[in-house]
Amino acid sequence: MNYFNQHPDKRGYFGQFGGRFVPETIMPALIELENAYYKFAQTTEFKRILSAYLANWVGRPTPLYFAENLSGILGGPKIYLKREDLNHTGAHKINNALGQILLAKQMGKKRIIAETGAGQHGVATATVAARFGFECKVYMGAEDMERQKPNVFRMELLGAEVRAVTSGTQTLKDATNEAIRDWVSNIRDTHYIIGSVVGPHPYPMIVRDFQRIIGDELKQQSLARFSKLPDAIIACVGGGSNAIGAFYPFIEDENVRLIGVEAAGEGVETDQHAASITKGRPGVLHGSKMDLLQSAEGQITPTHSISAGLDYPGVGPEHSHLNEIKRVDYKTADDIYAVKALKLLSEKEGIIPALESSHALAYLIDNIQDFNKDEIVVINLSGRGDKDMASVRKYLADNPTLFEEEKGNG
Amino acid sequence: MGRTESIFKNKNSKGQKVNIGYITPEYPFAGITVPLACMLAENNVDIIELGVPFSDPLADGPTIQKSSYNALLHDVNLDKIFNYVKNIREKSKVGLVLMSYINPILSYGVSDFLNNAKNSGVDGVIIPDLPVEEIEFIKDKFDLSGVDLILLAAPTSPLERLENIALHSRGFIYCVSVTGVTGVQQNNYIEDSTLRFLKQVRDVSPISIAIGFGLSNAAQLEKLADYTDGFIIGSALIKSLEQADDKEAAIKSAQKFIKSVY
Repeated sequence: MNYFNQHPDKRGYFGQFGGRFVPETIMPALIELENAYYKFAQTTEFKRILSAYLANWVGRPTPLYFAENLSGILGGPKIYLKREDLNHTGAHKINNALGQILLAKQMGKKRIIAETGAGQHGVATATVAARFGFECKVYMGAEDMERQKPNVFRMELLGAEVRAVTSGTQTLKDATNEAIRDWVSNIRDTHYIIGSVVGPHPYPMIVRDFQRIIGDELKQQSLARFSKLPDAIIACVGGGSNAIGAFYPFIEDENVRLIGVEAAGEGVETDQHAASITKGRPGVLHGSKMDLLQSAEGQITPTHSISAGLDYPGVGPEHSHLNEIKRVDYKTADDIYAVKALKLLSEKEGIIPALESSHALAYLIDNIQDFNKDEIVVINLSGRGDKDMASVRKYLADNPTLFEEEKGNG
Repeated sequence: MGRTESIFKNKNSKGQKVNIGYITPEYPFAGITVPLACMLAENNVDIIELGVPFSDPLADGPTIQKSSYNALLHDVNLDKIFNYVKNIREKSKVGLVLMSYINPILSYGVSDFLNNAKNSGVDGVIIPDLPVEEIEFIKDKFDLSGVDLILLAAPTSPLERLENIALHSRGFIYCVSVTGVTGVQQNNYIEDSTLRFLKQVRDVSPISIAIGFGLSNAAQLEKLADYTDGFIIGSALIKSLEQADDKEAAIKSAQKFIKSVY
């Protein structure tokens, strides 16, 4: 398999997915960004600065932790957690935000904008903007602001302005629309830090390249500790940046199973989910062709997930491509299993995972029989769960019987 | 020569500008689309731009976002729009172009879309999220159908992009007056940079050009007149409909507005 250097192609496509479907006003800025990326990000100097901040400010490399208790209880493979939750600001999002702000600095931009769903990318962006002295505005759906209050306060404390988005479904999709509208209006002095591997080319490539450090470290750690690569890597997929970061360096290692887990919400058989690859079809949103949850007439349909970070109707174009070429298996996990997984990891390993990451774990728990005892399975634990306490508390209060039955049976 | 191009030739040869008006179907009242279009056609509007509603109109400001959302609530879709076009076409020779984001067209199927567009009487299509780099898969089908693919140029476009846009645009070039989304500008002032931009597009373009985004009054149009072959008024026209209590009053109010500008 010869994957690297061909994805994306020169026009920003991964197979049939990707591209640049944006207003003309934005096109020159995308070309400027692409040029800046090739010119600066590949230099030794840029890489040296990035590595130094990743080591001393973000706290990389993140550990690869053997979840011994969890492995024992489940009686399946050896489960390891790639601890992205231990990054500065509590998730993998900072890897990308840091890389992009260094690029913005090189391009001479003065102002940073971002969209955020769960608030993790917003916090990461506000954090790098504070550190590097940029004015920062974060667009966030009004509904998400309600779900993720602590993160709103964190962003404001970091000096960012959080702008409530009340259009459409008031979630990540609409925050992204509003950020793009801001960018169109302030294109000359503003850099838009997209938080996932979505959006027009070159974003899916740039965000992937800044996130691939997850997979690069994982590869080194695996070889050093097991003298082999892991047998499987499982990651949650909303837009898909933590997943692509973990998967990418392994794409040509065909013996490593790669599994992306989408949010099934109340079930993929209902209309309350966010499983774009599993249930969507190709379409164009936010500048990119990708699998999309849409009506027969091409209108984007509302999504649902208990996890704000996965509550998005599209998915990174490279994921759509990796699905099409069958290199990655895309599966789903329901809200309830994600919450159960969050509880289990908290109780058995003393780690409260983000609801997003809990989907990856939930898939593994539910499908533990698919893995052999001698196998090594890595869960990309993309973030910590502190931000989700209100959502989880509410979910447990709303569904007390579900969990009581579980206790009775257990 | 397509209808759009001949409208420009005809008007411009008489020293007049081509007046384009944007409306969102069924906004603000159900049943308003055809009579509103006919009224505009009788009041010096040469080309009507019909907006195809989309759930995520990222090049549009609050006014058109709202009208687009409203149209979706009224279940406006491409089939209905082709019907409106057919009805308007039976009554008037006015130019008819659609403004649609790419996704509803992809979802409908490009070939079916063009067949039905052609048969109903659509002269051209403006796709705000389809830059010249991405027209490859759709361009030949448009040329074959005779429906114009009208490309947009922006003040941020460097010369080589403008040349490429001019080479591929059909009917006319839609020049975006501001670096921003659609909507009435707080400030009526026309920047010198806008005039320079229009001059640059005109210099490279073998076809006519029209300017849109943020236009709302006769004073602006007068300042721009020497630099463009046509004007496009959207959000201000939509706004003129909004205060009315019913369909008839809305059409009257729009008539008063359009007479004040065109």
